[in-house]
Amino acid sequence: MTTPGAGSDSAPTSLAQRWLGGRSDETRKELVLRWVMTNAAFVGLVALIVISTMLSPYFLTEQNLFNVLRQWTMVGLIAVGLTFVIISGGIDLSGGAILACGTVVGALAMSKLGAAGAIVSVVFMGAAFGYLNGAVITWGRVTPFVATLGTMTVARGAALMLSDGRTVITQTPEWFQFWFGRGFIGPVPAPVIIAGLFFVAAAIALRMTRYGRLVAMVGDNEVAAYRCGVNVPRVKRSVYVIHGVGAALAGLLFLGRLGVGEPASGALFELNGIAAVVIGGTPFTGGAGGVGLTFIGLMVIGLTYNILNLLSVSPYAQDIARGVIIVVAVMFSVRSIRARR
Amino acid sequence: MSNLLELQGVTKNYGAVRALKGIDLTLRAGEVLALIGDNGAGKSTLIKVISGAIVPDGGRMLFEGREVHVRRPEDARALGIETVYQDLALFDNSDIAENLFAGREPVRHILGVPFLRRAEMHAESARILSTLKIHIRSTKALVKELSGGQRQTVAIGRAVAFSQRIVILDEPTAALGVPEQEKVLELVQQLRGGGYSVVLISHNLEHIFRVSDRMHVLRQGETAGVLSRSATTPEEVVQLITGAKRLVH
Repeated sequence: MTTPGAGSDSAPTSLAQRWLGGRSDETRKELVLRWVMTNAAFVGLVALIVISTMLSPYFLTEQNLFNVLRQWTMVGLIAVGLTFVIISGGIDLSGGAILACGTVVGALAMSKLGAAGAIVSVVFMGAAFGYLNGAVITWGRVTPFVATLGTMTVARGAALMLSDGRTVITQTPEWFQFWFGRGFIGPVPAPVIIAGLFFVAAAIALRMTRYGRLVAMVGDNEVAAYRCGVNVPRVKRSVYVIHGVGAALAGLLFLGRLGVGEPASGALFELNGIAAVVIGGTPFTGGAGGVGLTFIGLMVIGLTYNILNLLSVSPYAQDIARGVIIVVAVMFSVRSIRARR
Repeated sequence: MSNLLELQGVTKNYGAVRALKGIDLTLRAGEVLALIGDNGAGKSTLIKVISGAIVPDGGRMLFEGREVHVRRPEDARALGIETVYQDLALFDNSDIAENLFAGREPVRHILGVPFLRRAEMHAESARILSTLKIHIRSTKALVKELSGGQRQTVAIGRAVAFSQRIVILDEPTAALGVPEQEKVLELVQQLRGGGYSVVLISHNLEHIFRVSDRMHVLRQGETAGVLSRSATTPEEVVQLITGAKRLVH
């Protein structure tokens, strides 16, 4: 690696440089290497798909791939919110617990308010938990880790209290089951479409709107953001609200798929969500990253689970593989020079 | 020249520490005023008061003869005061255009959602950089990839591009190589030529004597003296800084 900035005044000279956005003092080999390092998660995903396809004839089939997508919609929704939170320089551990509380609130509201009322209640509940996180962090000046750890415990406790610690059985209407659970539009599972819309909206917000800049500025340099007139506490609260809403939506997907409120659901989803964000290459230090990267990270985790299952590897060994992947991915993400949005 | 900005009896305490003990300061239109003093003399505190980063405990601030209350950075910005802080307040993971426009990104509202006008940001950034004769290959380069001098020019560029009246520079040449220092001094002279008032904090007397019109020397939170460049010498300034001499005014 050469010193950044050195000689960067001169114009790009080769096609490779123009395409890969490199500096004029780099050789083509260095450029390709740098591109691979920068896009480590994407390269890893492609490699994973190629190797898996060779290992199992069932892997690269429409049904299998959409199955994987559907299995990971809930973690994916939490991971989208976590992307906002982590870019803003925070962390949120309460996603899984908010999901669980969402399934219980949704199941209880379903019989009294109908499905539409249940959806509104659950989304509102998620936003409220998210706002609680943001309020404790900004007004209470508690670090995000501790604040969201507290909310995680509170939300899980609320789920257990509301459900008496038991699975809440409820009747859900056909359309709710279709959109939040079992429906298909063509070959695409309906919940994948819902999660997909959330991903796309989030990606647009982060990349293309002023709000996305505010989130990145707060995570990159809080003092400078304040000096630039950014309402830092408000931006922080907003990312936790987005996270809470995503986790609540995940709870609705659980309810749609299984038709019950389950206070024990969503355990460790927040950690898989964090893993997806980090594997994608969004730095833990904040200020950069994006939802597209998180999607790549999510697929790396999902397809790893999937291929290990298809190959009948023991679940215990799978955990080891996943742990190794997370650490290796972070090693690459730390080395990557340009984190993209 | 008329007084553009005037501070009267500004005080600021940090607990028992009296950082500013009643400072009177005048900044005229179109001048470069150097703010000089030893470490801890109160220079940084004073410019933070002007730029709205901190709220003083006492004193008045007049802008064009009218009393103003600057309590937040936005208030100072609204008056046309821009500050380049010593600790280069840039966003490392953002590109040059995003840094130049930080906090005032041009947007287009679609369904009420403020979408960034990225193309405009980059075109306008390129224009700003070329007016300031700053040569950086692409406005899409991330700030963390830039050299120290390039970073400083981006920080100054941001202040200059949006300031209408006053640019405050806190140690703009510190930690720069000699050619980069020259570039920054050139920028300061360009600013004065463009009709801006500049408050320049520096430890480098040679630089100060080259670009400033007047010098305001602080010592231990008080004004040690206000000098006109044409009527003083570096020796006198050093005496004021060290307390060997004091001009009561």
